Amino acid sequence: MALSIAIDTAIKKMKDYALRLIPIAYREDPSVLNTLIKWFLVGLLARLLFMPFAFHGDLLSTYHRSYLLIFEGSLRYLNPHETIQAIALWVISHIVPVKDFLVWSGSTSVSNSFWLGTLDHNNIFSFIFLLKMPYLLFDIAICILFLHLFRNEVKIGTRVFIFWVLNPIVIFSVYVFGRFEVIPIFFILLSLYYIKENNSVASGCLLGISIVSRYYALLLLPLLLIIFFKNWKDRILYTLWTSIPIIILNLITRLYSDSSPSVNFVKSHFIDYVTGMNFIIEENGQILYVFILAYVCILLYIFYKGCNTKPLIEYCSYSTIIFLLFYSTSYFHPHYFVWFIPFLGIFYGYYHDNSIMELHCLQIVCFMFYTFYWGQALASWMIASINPEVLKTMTAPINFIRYFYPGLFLLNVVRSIFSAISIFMVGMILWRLKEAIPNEE
Amino acid sequence: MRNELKPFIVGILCCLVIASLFTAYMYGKGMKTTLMIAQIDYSDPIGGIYGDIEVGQSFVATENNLTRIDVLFVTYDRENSRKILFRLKDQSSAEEITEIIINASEIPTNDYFSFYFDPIPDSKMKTYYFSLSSPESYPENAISIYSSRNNAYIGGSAFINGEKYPGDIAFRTYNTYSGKGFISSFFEKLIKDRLFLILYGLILGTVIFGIITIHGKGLKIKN
Repeated sequence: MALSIAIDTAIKKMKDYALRLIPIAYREDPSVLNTLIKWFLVGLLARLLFMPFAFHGDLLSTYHRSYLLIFEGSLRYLNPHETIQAIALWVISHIVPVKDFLVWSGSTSVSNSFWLGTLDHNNIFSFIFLLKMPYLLFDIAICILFLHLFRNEVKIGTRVFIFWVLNPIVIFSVYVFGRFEVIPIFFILLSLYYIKENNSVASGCLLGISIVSRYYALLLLPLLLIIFFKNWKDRILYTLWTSIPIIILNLITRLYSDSSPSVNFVKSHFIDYVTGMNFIIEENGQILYVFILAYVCILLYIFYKGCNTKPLIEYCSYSTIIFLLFYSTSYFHPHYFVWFIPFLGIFYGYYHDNSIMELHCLQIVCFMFYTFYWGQALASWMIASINPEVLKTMTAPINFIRYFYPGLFLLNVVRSIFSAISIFMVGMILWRLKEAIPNEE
Repeated sequence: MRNELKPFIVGILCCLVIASLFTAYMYGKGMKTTLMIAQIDYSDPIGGIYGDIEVGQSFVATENNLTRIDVLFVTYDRENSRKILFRLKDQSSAEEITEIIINASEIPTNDYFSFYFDPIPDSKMKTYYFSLSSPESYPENAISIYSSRNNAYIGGSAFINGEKYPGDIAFRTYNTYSGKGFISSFFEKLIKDRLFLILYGLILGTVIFGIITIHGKGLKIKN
């Protein structure tokens, strides 16, 4: 009897504590709180269903680097996401034999044969589930952060929250593919939260952390400087705060290893991707890069147009535009598609534009076909832990399409449609921004 | 709020329906296959397949329900455009089981191409022979097949125009797999990690119970 009372009290206390994480404006209305918790649980269920059964070899590669960091002291892998994963890995190593899954020689990227070889292991489900646990925690933190970003704008916050929680791209990138994208996204959003709270130091440092974790966050820095700061002094100061984590990490890794994040950035494929679509102007080597051209045009437009009564909304809208331009003009790995989801969510939450939502749904359909470019690796192999014998040998979707139609041609057609939708969305967002900002609350 | 998010939820449902239909269609079309034989030792192309040249390979099926044969083609990085003839025979009875005609342009560059046919129920321990020919092709517009230099596959041999070839063609054979077997094998694997199964079941159960409770009764909150 006494035990059941104690358990009951503990559950009540936990519930109260968990609810305290939600801003008071959301707690005041039981129907809003009800909606939030219900959709959160639905989203959580979708995540849990994929967590132990689906993953791409990249999940093993990134955790292999974390393994080298924590168990072999290889400081070249000291960056935010691999450090967080390393801490998680230390805990997991007491539950599951991590060496069986994460130790190989040569390149830090896992080979297909090693990846497929791990699928027969008896502990594969628990291991994959545990590897994704840190991602789930960051994912939940992002949900709470959305509510705090719109602390007094309940309708907007609720819409953004549900958009994130139910978004299939988030579920695919993080829980099916198994990528760490939620970690840099969390730091980007936290930086946004602090800038809204007028704390430039914390905001700048957090953006710096996200840049070290994922280089794409660098694209957001000029946008943020133009929209949130009115004078050059503040802009330079913010850039300095942003560069602090980058400098510290460069110094540490330079001192203790032969590589550094900045060198890695210059060498990274991301640069090749954003410059992939280009026009040769002259045979002496002059090339025009389409994405860079569009990106700078957007920056100049914002700079000379001037802003803004709602800088947060403008920032998120223009960030969405930049990512849409990136997706439509550049080669990108499927999990990169989650990068723009928080910004699109905020845009949608604020403007409540259903046509944007319809276009996003069309994007998702095209995106399904886009993943076919990667053959079996992004099809049956990702869920092959369920039944390796059958799923490892299943034909790739593109090979199947080939029986009816030239597969690659069809994929390229769908890719073009995807780009067209993305460019059209850019136009719609710009058009929306020209209109007066609605007053929701 | 429910009405406001309607387009989003409808969109997600549409995506899920499309994905499910696609998967079901793929399965329905005999994609539910599992590997039977894999002769993946290869070094050079066996030579152009054109005119009267016929290249073949014999093998012994190790399972019933033989339904698919993959062949590793060489396209010589050019656009070949003539018809390719694939024939499968039961070697003991010399009975032709299937004949499939494809265009050389459909063949991916240096990759496997799969030939599907109706499952052969009693294929186990029988010797089969598949062959490829292309009477319309000529040396500048012909594909080839990768092969090994030595006898890499002991269950059969490669042939060129009926003459035994010292190596073997790079090929894979598949048989169909029952849905019941697929599910039971998944559960067998899941049961091996018993502690995880219990904890995972508890977590899932709690979340589902939470959804049902909130949906049915609503949440009682003290402000």
